[in-house]
Amino acid sequence: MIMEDPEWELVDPDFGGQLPPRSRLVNLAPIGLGTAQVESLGSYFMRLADTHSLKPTSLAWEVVFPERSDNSWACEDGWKHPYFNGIGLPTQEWVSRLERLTKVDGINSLTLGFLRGRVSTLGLVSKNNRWCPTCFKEDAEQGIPYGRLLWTLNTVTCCLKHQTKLIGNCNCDKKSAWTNETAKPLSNICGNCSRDLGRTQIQQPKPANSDEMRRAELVADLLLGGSTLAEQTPDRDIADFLEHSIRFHFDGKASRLGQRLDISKSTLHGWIHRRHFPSFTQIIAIAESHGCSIANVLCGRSDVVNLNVLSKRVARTKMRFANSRRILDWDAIDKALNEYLHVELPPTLVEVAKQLGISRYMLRRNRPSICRAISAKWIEWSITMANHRAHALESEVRKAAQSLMEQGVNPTRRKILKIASPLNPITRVTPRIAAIFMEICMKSKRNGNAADPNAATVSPN
Amino acid sequence: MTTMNSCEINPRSMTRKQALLLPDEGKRLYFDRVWLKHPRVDQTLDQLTIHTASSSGKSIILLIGPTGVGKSTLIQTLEEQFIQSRMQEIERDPGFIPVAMMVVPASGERAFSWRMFYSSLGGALEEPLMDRKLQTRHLDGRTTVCLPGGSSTVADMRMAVEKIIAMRRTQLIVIDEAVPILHQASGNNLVNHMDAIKTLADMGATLVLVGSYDLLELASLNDQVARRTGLVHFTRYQTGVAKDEESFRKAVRMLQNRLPIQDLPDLTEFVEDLHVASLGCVGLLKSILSTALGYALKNGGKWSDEMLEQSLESLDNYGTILKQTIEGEAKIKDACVGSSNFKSLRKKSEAILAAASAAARYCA
Repeated sequence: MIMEDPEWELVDPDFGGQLPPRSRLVNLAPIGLGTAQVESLGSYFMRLADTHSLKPTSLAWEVVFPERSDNSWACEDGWKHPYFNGIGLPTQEWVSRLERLTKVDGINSLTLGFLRGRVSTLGLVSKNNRWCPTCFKEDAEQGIPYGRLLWTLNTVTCCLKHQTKLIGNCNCDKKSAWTNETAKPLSNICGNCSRDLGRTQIQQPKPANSDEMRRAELVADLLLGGSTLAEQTPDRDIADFLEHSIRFHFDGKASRLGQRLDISKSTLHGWIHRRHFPSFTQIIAIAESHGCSIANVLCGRSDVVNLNVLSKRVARTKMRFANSRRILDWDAIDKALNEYLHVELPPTLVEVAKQLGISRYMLRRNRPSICRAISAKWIEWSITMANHRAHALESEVRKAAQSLMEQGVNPTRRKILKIASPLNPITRVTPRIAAIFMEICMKSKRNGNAADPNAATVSPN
Repeated sequence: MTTMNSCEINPRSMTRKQALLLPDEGKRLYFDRVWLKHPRVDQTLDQLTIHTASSSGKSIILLIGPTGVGKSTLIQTLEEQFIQSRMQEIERDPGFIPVAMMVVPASGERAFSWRMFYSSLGGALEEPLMDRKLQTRHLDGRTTVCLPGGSSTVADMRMAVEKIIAMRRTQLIVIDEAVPILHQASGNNLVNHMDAIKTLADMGATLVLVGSYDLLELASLNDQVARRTGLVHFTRYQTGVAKDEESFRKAVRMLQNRLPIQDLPDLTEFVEDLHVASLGCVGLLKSILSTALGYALKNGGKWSDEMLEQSLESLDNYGTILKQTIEGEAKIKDACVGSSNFKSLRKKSEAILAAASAAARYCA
């Protein structure tokens, strides 16, 4: 055996196998991670597809869901809708698959997944895409335009940075003719006209009001602490918060908190007993009314409630309620009601209330006797009028019967009513009219000759 | 009979004694997977490493050498070194693909297929759905993509590959068997082909085109290409050069030690004949020994010296290879890096100026 030269080496033919596995897709970093301006999952997926020069649909079908499972809704065009960033189970499946394919951590932070099991899905995300054109414009100047997760929340209606209302319409004309080109699927490109949504020609956004800004700030705070919220085990939740709040701030009376939040006591009890979750808008209202963050409400941290805000808000609410009540001049109302009692043509109570501009319930509650008198007078008058109409009709019927018998015609009901009440011959047959018919008929039979005018004579009464 | 798995047989971890216990198919596979890193590989690798560094200013490197000299082994080693030197970054960034290796596909058609080229390159970069690529168009303030009727165009694929090279931060692209790019193009087409390759190099990656002496054509296309192109010659072990002969002898010894044959005689007795027969190329030497191994295995694992002769190239083939190698070596003498010095450059400058003035006089 000849000795080998130690300086000579063998190349490992399996070297390629030692290379750590690479991510199947480019590990594209999400924008704004850890800030309130964090990118949305839909925007991230569209950027990922663009990086690979693929249509998002192709990427979804062929790479993300190659086995073509039940996620077809999202594969086809779900990624362009705001609900793609919500808390649904398909979104979580997307997150785990994209994390596996890109080996990027924190894709879950691009969704509202951290709110799962804490809020109701109802009205959480907006139905249509909205954006801030100024943000898009600035993004394009500084780097890459992207859609924000904040914009997908239904309660956020303004841009926190530019203090303007979000826009949901490009005001573009629809694609006029069919071409083999389509708008590039990106957050900042209009799907209809393929133009940049951050362009200056688009409508000027209106300034946001203080309420909108306050709500947006609360939600932005929540997104900032979203990852920590997701990591926490929900040992305390909103039910604990409400229970504590009722006990310590509302004297143990749920109705008072319910009144404060403009919800019924039973709804509040539903939340406390975890039968259902409050909507995101209601959670914001709870946070606002308690002067604390949304995260504190969701984590049941009722000890951080700002008592000053709580008391101020109560006072303000009460004041607002007091202002909302009209001060009525009951003397003038009494005078008017007395006048209505003596008018020749008595009105109904509804008409009186309408003319006075007050609800009839309020009138009844405050002036029951005079209201009863007005109603009684109207009923009396209406009965008199009905009797009067009945007498007139009886007279007409008798006259018609007389006329028919004089002509030698058998006075049947139909023929009589055709003459007496030509407009509505059937419905006006009351029991009393029917009795008169019977009387005429009997007389006609007794006479035996319908053609005899004397036999058909009917007494007026 | 069970099929051997190539991953189970690694000559680096398996001794010859263990290989002798393998079935015939396994023995063949064992020897096939013996990739020898000999001194000439090291020398050439050093040159390549220097020129592939981003500071060298050369974005296209032509690695040229005679057939069977061990170019594939060399690029394998280059890849290994390249990856080892960047292992920390590779582990930190799972999307980072520092090096991509591909073999130029032969289309089987008259023209060179850039579609197949970009498809292979996309595969080397682990890029999915190369046939579905979309190209972005910016026109009149609109940003659109063309809906692919069937598969994507070559331009779409090229732009996608360029983008992915940038995103994956690929620093080295090794294109093995690059000669088909030239064979199916001439004149302006060749310039166009080179422009396409130059564009790839502009994305920040260094391109290493590996092939035989035909690749020399690329280096002399125009001044733009010449400035960006570096040429590394992978030479064979020359006969008559003592150091080369000694190295070749070691190569024979190394390969013999990996031949899974019982009672193998000392092949260094045939080293001079083998040196001539393989033109001093270790790859060709291995090829001869591999064929001889096949004969021996067919003979029940018994070796005879006639088998070595039976394994040699035919006279015609040998003549063709030798002729092309010698012609190529003559052509490349002044082209490869490190072939010049101040004196030779001055001489060349004077010669070109003299020729230019003579031409001007003639025209006047």
